[in-house]
Amino acid sequence: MNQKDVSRANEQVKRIIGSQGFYIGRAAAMAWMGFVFGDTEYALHVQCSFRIRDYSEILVTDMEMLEPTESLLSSESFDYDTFHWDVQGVNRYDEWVRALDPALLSTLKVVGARVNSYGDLTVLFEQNIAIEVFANSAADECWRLFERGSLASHLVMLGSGIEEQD
Amino acid sequence: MNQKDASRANDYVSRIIDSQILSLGRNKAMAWIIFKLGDSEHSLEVYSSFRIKDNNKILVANLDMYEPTESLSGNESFDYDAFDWDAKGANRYDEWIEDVGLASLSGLKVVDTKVNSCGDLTILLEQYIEIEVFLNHITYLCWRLLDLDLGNLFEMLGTGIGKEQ
Repeated sequence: MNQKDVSRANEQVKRIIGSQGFYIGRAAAMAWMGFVFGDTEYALHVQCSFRIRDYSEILVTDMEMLEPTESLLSSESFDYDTFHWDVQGVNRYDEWVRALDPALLSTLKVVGARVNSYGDLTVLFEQNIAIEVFANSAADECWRLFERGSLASHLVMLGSGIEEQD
Repeated sequence: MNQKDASRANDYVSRIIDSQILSLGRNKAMAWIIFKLGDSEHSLEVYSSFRIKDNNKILVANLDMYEPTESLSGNESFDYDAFDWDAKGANRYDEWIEDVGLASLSGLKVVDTKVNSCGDLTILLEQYIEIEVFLNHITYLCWRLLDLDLGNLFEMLGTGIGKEQ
């Protein structure tokens, strides 16, 4: 991605800095995340690799969507061949999301947001929690950021750079 | 991963510095790259997300394994629901390896290696080409480096170093 596009992307993602309030979920294999800025909400949709970590360990990743929860896995009748990861609540990602403390989520503040020249996105919260999005496709959509309820263009990041919107 | 383990990881992977890429490919969703230095060969096996990039763009990445080639998807009779990504040559990753990767990467020397505190691996090749492995499994094997002659191996899991022999 050229420097001009990197700057454009960073201008867009900077909008979430200072937001206080975060939510997360998924639709099929796409993770959705929201950043609350008073009456404005920014949505981040991620279709590539990502992880959320703190200063010492990885907390959750995209691949956790495909893994059964511990309780399912340890069940005598569990069969990997018939495991449907997409059923809400049966995978480790859903389990982790469900266990999040709503009080913590409502106060999580974004203190930094950055896009590099390959389209990777890093969002840094207080308390050293980070979302790291890794562009692992050469051409397809990796993530997008947009303001919910607004007609403004989305920032769509492909593996090959920003997708131009009409 | 603590500093001590990060240092151990870096010490181990640095043994491929100065080696040259001999070959690369995949076995199902696992990507492999063979490095040769003198008589010794190392195999890097990648089970988590990765990409190969130059100083300008991403050349190929693991998600390309699941995408049909242009010629396949451009075919009128192409049916996504019936697409078998694992059929040799049917996906963009295989296509890139065959058409570009083998020719342009074979013989390239490893200039530097780095493992960060998350366990992500970066291999810098000549001509500013980089192989980047990004850990996106928590408990499973993400990558490993095997000495094909001596049988030594080093494993990186999402939680840190696994087997080390």
